[in-house]
Amino acid sequence: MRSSCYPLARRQAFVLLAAIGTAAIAFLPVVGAVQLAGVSLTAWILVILMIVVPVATILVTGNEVD
Amino acid sequence: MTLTMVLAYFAVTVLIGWIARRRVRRSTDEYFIAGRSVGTFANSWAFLATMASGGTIMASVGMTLFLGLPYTVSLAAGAPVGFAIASILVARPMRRVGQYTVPDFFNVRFANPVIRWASPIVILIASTVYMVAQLTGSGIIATVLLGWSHETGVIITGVIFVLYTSLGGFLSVTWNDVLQGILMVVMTVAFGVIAVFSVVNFADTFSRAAEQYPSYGMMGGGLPFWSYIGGFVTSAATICVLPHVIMRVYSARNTRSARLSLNYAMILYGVIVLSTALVLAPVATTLSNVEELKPDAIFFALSGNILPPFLQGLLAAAVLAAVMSTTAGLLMACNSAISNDLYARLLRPGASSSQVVRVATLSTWLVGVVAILLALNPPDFLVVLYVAAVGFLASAFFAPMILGIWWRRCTSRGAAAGLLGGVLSFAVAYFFFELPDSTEILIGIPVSFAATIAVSLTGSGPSAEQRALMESAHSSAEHPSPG
Repeated sequence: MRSSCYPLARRQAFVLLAAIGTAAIAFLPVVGAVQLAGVSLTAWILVILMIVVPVATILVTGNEVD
Repeated sequence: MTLTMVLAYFAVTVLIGWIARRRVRRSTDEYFIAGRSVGTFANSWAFLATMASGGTIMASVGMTLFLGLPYTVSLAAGAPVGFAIASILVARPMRRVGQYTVPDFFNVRFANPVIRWASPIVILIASTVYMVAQLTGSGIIATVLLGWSHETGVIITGVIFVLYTSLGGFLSVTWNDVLQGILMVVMTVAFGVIAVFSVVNFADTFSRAAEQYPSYGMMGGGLPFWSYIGGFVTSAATICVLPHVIMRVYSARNTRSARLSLNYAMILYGVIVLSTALVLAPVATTLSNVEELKPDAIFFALSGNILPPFLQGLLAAAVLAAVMSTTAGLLMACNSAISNDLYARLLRPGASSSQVVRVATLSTWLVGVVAILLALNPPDFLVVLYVAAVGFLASAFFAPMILGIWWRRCTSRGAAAGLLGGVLSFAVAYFFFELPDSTEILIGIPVSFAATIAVSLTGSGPSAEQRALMESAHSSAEHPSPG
């Protein structure tokens, strides 16, 4: 039976879920309470997310046929 | 010196608009999406300039100090996730459907009278509020750096960007955006580097800032917990429905170029945000009077302290560039909503290209003047106003857009219910409940998803024509490349 949603390439779905999942973990209160160099761990995880997500997105969409 | 630099910058932007005018006068394709010919390099800088607002550069130093680094990066980190959503879920299907704007896409996908009227009106409201936040920033720059009154600053900068947008349409906005994007990145990075060397030991300054301003580093220092999540969701959900961002997807030479531009722009955006939040904000704590300053004025107080006059002038031009590029993009979204979506589609379907361009030019001035008048009374935190505007937009469009592209069962009635449900729930939450800042979207988007899905499931499914359209938009996605 055909899915009710259009299919998405597995690597692209992984990047989206990983980005959203990482953000969800970053916002957990227990993570926010940890401090590194006087700054909440939440902020450091989100900073890493800002750098990694665009690079990962370029990698998983670069070969896509238009 | 600062005034000379700013005036020179104004002259260049208007000159670019004048040159672009020759190419766009009689063609709606040229006027609204620059003939779909913008390459990856230009589009990346233009995407950046459109995304990085006055708030990104100027307000984020004060915001980071008083509302905290976690809040600033919550807002900023939502953007790359939003760009990933736009690149992966939206860019290709929308290019394949081949329309100019978000209302254009909704029109061919849903063909629903409620959506046809409501979507351009939502864009007009949200974009105008967003523009007010931007114009307020230009008033602050004029007051702090040029010694003008707030009103003079708002009016002069407002007239300049309305002029170059009305002259050369999207082509003028794009050429100006490239100049403005480069200016923003170069000047922010230069300011950051100079700031690092202006203190004896940057690591010590950073640690001292975190000690003296606990709100700088901690979660919950300046805002309730849900505001951080609201800020993140606002950025993530907004990118793929911001009309001035979507227009850039259409103006790209091809889908691959649009996707690459989105992500290159995101990397450049990260450079700007991290320079201001991780470097400039802690260095700003060394200012003797930082607690007495308005949050949005701290950035220029720091530049006045550590930069020579020539660089202060260039920095002022860079912040004005951030304000003007975003505002010009929003103006294009507004004039497109009025001339393309309301006038040409609903009020006068047989209008010629030159009539549509004329209405677009007039509406640019009309909306620009309204935004200028509204910006004469500034709010305390520009960012809060900006978040409200984009939260309203995302609450209206995100669910119908994503479900309309990816869910086969999504119907026109469902999308209309989702759009209205998102708008109304956001407005009720914003105006009638005392919720923490930036959290209204956490009500608007779920309500919109629920309404779209519930109403779609009660009807008979999308028409054969709508199904065929989306099948063709996804045709090669059915067979994704391996790995």
